[in-house]
Amino acid sequence: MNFFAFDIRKALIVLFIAALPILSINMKRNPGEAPWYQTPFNWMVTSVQNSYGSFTSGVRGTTSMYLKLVGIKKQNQVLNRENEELRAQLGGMSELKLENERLGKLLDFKQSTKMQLLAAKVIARDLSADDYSIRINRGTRHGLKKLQAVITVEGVVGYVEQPEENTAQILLLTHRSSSIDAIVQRTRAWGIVSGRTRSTCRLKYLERADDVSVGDMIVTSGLQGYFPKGFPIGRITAVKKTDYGISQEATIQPVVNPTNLEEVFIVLNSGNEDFNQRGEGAEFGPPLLSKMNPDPQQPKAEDRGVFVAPRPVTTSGDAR
Amino acid sequence: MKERLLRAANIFLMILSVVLLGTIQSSFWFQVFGYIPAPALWIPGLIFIAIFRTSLEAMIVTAVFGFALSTMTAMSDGLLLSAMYMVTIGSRLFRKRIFWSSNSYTMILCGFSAFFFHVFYWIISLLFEATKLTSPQMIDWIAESLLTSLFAPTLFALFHWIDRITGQEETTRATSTEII
Repeated sequence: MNFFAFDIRKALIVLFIAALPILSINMKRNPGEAPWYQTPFNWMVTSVQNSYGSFTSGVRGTTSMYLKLVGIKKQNQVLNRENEELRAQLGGMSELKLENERLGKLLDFKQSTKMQLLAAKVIARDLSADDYSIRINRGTRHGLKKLQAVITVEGVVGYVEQPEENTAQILLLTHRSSSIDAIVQRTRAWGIVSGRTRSTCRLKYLERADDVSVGDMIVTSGLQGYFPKGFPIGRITAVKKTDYGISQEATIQPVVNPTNLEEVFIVLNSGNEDFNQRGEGAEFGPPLLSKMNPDPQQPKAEDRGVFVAPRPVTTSGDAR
Repeated sequence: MKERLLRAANIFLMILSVVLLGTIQSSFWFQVFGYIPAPALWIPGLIFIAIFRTSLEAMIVTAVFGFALSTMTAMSDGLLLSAMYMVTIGSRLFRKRIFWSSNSYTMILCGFSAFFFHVFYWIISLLFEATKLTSPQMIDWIAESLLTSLFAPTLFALFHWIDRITGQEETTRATSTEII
């Protein structure tokens, strides 16, 4: 093939086309508008670029948001866990504080009485809904005997029904079979307290002529020897006197809520403690008395001089 | 000989389970939920024995259950045993007439038994006790029955498992007409 044998016409056309850009390099630019032939391309390019720009910024935004959310989720989990831990700690602290106050009160009571007391924790309740008894974590090994009194700072709880070696069943004063010797504090009228419902008792065998009225405080007589004398049992909420018969009966609201017990005391030895002899300013005995006084006209128990300032101090029994 | 040993092991495990369930009801439930009515977890054990065992075995095991459970209540032994026997006999009679094998049967029978245990107890107390039960806690009875129903299928599964490991499945599979 002859190197120089080419089509001169084609060569000129190619040269012309190639020269156009070279010629346009130095052409004067119009600074205002793009030339007419660029307009459609400009429109196309800007549209595509805008779309692309929007798309990529959207994707970038979504991605970064997702990445941030992943971070936030993790952070949220950590914060939630911390929050739960702190709440649990706070709950535990509150519970401890309440327990501490409760036990402190029990200890104060124990230290201010002649009675030999043994603290115990309630560990179980009765299997039957209609029998009101509890089980405590003290038994014969700790010196418990049948019929020993069970009390709290507020008042009478019941008595030991069946002591085992390490535990004991306590018959609550609200059980229908329980019986506790009692007197009306104001008039010294004698009767027997036994259970009626889950939250009420009755005072039986009151003589018909006995002076009893709603609001009267019922306290232990101390005759059985197991209970201290004058320790609060409950307050009369109703008196029933039939047309016939030689006795009357009263309904009592116990000062201790038997469905809310956690710790109790067993009276190992009542030590002839007489709460009737204590003077004014009682710190112990039922703080509920003033609250539960159904009749504002009735004098409060404290005003009657029943419960007393803590006497210093005969410590007896083991601490819990 | 082996058969008898397995039978004895089965009865021993059933008694142990009922005692454990009784303590869960009276102590563990109390520790966790306080004085909220607890399910009568021992009732499914009693019902299982009542409907899947011979009359004689059911009566003997019911008595043993009664003595075991009496340590957890202030109820008198006689009263507890009487009410338990009435539940055992009642559930056997019910099973003789109506029986289908499913969880719903278990739930219904245990729920009603838990309720009627209290009804029988109340009636016996009114008739025979010196200190009669005059203010029954009926709301508690209902709550206890419902909760017992909920727990019954799981506890029946436990008792079936005890039967399986002690080779007593045939007894459990027997129909009501065969065992009564």
